[in-house]
Amino acid sequence: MDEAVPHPPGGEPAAEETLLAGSFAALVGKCQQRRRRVARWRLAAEAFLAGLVFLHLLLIAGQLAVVWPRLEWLSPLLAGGIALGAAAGVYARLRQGQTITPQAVLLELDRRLGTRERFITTWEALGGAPCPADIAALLLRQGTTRLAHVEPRVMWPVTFSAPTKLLPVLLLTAALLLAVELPLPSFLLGVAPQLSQSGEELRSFARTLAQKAEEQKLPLVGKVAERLAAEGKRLQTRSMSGEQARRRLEALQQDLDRWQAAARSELPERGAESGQAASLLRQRQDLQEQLRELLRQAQRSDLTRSEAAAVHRHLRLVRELLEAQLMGRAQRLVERGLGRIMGAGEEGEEGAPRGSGGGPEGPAGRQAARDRDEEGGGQGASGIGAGSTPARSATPQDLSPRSSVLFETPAQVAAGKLRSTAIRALPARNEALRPSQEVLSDYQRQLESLITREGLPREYRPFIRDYFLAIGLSQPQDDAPAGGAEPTQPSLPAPRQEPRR
Amino acid sequence: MTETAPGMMSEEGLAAIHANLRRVREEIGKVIVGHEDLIEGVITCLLCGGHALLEGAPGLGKTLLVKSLGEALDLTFSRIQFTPDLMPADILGTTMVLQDEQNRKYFEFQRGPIFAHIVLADEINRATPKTQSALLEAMQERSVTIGGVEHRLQEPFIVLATQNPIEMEGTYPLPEAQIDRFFMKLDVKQPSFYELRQIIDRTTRAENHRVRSVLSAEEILGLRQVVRSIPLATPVRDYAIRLILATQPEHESGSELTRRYVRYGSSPRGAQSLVLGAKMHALLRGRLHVGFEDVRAVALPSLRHRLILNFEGEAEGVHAEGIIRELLRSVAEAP
Repeated sequence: MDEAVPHPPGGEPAAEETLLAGSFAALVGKCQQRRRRVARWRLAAEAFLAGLVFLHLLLIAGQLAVVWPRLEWLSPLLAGGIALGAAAGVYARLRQGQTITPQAVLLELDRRLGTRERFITTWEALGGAPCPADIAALLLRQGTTRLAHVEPRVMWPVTFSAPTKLLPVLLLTAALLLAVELPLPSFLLGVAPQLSQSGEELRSFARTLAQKAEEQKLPLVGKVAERLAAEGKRLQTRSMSGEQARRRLEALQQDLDRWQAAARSELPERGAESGQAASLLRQRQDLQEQLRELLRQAQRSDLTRSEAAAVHRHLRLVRELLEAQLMGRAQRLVERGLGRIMGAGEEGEEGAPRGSGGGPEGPAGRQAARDRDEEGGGQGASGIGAGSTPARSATPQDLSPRSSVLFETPAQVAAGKLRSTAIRALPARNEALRPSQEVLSDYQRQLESLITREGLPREYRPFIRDYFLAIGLSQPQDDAPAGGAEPTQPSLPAPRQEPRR
Repeated sequence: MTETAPGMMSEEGLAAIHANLRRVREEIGKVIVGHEDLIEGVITCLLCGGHALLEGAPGLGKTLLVKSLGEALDLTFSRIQFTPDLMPADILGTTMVLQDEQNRKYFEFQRGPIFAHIVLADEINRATPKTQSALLEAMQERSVTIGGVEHRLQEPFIVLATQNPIEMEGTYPLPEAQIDRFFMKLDVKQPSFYELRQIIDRTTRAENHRVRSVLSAEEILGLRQVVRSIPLATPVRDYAIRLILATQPEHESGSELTRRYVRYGSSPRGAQSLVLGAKMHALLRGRLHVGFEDVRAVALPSLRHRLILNFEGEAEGVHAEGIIRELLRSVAEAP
């Protein structure tokens, strides 16, 4: 109680009225104490919600640093600190403006109970307001009786400030939108656009992986797909910095490696399915490394059209192989490589011999052939040398006829035999510094090493070797024997003859 | 009715007051169908010591209401039909020269119809301003001075003036300063379907309903004291003040609507009417404490005739009732 217990006006109070006045004051003090407790909770809740809003806004602002570099200083840690300070400020401000007097408590009680200002009138009548003694005594008696029956829960409904009232609605709406996975703009969720895009790619890959794992009954692959999907969703919906995302992806990679190692170690015990899955994982790692190297070389070298067509076909082959073996991520790398050399590759394919190098006999080749048939290309199972038109038709500007130059350069086409070859190259580089044979030799060596590595399935080795032989035959028509299945480059080592399965 | 005397208030006394007031309303309700708000408003004016201006179309039972009120309260009743040729002496009375038995002539004041407890000033706006002023002065001073002699009007004294809002030709609208002296302005509304059915049933049959006397003049005066002794909590009083100030366009707390359409807001007399009316509203419901709701309930009859609209408000057809309702919505109970 902040104030002294009032006495009924009108001289010496009667004993009953004194008792009633004391009782009324005690009841008011009890209500005041309850109200203070409720107010503390309300202040804490309002401050917490205010801090939450600040944090969210700051995180969104931090993500906007992608388009507005001035905001780069706003790290999540700093945002958390600012939000904490804001919450403390809101708490202090609200606490300062909130004084819980007995009059305020009684007025609030009157409002909640609908007693039409009975309690506040009684309190003021007892406090010395002009009022006849008999009316004050009557009010005191009625007010004390009524106040004694006030239940504590009457004090609990908290009245929040107007901005705070909207917050639960906003939070519920956001939670609902997240639950139904509506395509919200990423910045509304405080997620960087790049991370959101990465998350979408990861989820797309996970869906494909899960579908094929279901079709081919590969539980381990399905587990990997689930993990990838969860990680992709987290990238899309959780606000995190680039460093946090990098750490999460490293953790993801570690999980994948761990599963891969587990699959290898459990290979004998887990039967055919586990063995197949482990094999796939091994292939994925090896082929990815090989593809990266190939792409790097392709980017470094100045290729003729035929060389570019050869690289294109090579990459396409590996892509089909990867598609057949659920290597979605490697497939994206291949797609990226295809995109860079697409223009030259498409032109080169027109002059490439069809059906050279033998047809694919392994499952990957058959799958690729099926895929081509389904696409309606009409190429049939003509083998890896078949000049099927790539699905992507984008032409890089740096190798387009308009921006590049065509010039003649000597090249070794056979042992002791040189001939002039037309090369389209970038004007800035002016000429091709590396003969195409060296590039192809590099490809050959790398693919041979790939073939001999332990992780590659045996049935694919002749398949890749045939493809490599096809590269040697895919020189321009005026340089290579028509329809010849033999390599025209003596410098290329003869492939190892391993029996096909 | 000793319970109604101040200083002896108890729960039983409060219950008796409530029951008596309810009986007055019931007795009037025997004759007057509907119009509960109107009856309550008239009783409020009577017990608060004010006068009421009743505005309504002819034939709605205004005169019958006032007459029934007089019967229910055991008070004297007089009716003055205001006409353009009505003179102040016709209302207040006049000094006449009389002759006694010794043939000596002397002056004697002959009381006019205003010397009654309840005076019905029918169609007050048909009299000239001079006559209106005579009545309104008597309403305010509660006394009549004629020939240098002051004649006190008997208490309780209440003037119930009526005016017809339809016919404006040949009328003298009450000046704003004079209309402010009415405690409340009550609208007499048209009866609803069910009320009209009851009116027909009651007035077209053989039996007549008799109004019994329920309260005496002394009891009414005692109740006036009770009403004034009802305490008013500070927040409620401040709310009434904020409401009054919000009607004044020149005041800083005046609302946007007030600044735009109101030329003059409520006077302090309006605040008195608002607070006393709220107290009476609470007492009529058996309470000795006044709430915000009571203030809101009497705001319309207490203030509607005190808001003088400006030209823009008149031109746009704005009503004072609309402005008051808007103020009741916008003015907060707590500052």
